[in-house]
Amino acid sequence: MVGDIMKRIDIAKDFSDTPLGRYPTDSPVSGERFREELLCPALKDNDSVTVVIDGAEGYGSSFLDEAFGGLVRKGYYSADQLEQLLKIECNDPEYVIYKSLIWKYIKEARKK
Amino acid sequence: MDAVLEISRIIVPPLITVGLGAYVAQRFFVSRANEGAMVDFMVRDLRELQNDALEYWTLAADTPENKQRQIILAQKIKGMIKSLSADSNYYCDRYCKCKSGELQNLLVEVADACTGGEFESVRKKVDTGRYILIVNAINRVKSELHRRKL
Repeated sequence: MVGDIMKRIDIAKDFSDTPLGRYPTDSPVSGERFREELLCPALKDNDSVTVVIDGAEGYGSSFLDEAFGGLVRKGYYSADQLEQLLKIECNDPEYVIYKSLIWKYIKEARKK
Repeated sequence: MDAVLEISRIIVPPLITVGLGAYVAQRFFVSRANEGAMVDFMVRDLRELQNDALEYWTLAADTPENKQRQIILAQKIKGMIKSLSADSNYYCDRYCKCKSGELQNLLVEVADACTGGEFESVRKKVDTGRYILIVNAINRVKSELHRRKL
């Protein structure tokens, strides 16, 4: 759509290639920190955000749940809004499972 | 000369049919054998993942050695899940295109069971309740793979 502002966040390049943990007390590259410092501001300032998950050493569910499910739990966005705003991109088959996990956490967080 | 031509006219078509049939059968059995080997490989990885995950969730981080062991196990678990994701994608692309979602969903449950909760957290405690979650999730994938192999 003309005029839409799109932001692209590459987790491995823009945040860390070894993201881990749920809270900042767990690690300096935790899910909460990613959500608060990169994801939320990007979602607030843009019409859509693409998060590239390729390239990281791997993700724990705790990181993904806090980073993405936390958006719903903290009341920033509903799962329906995120379906419109957020796009998860992965080209490497190793990361396909994380894409499914992210949407699982977003949808499950809605139920809470 | 006519007799030779007559005999070859009779023999050649069945020979071609038998040859093609043998080729198709050989392709089928090679494909099944490769699929079986791939399933065995994935089941072996799942077993290893199960052992590592169970050790991780039953290990108390009360000594520096245990903390170090936990870090190593966490990396092994994440690496194995990545590897299984790639293998299952390859397997589904090659052998079960129409049902790729089912296996992927089962693996999502495995990843959630193995690396959810307080995984890689400073607050992580021994979580024996996770034992049954991990075993059940992994067994569901193993059953599905065995079902397809057979």
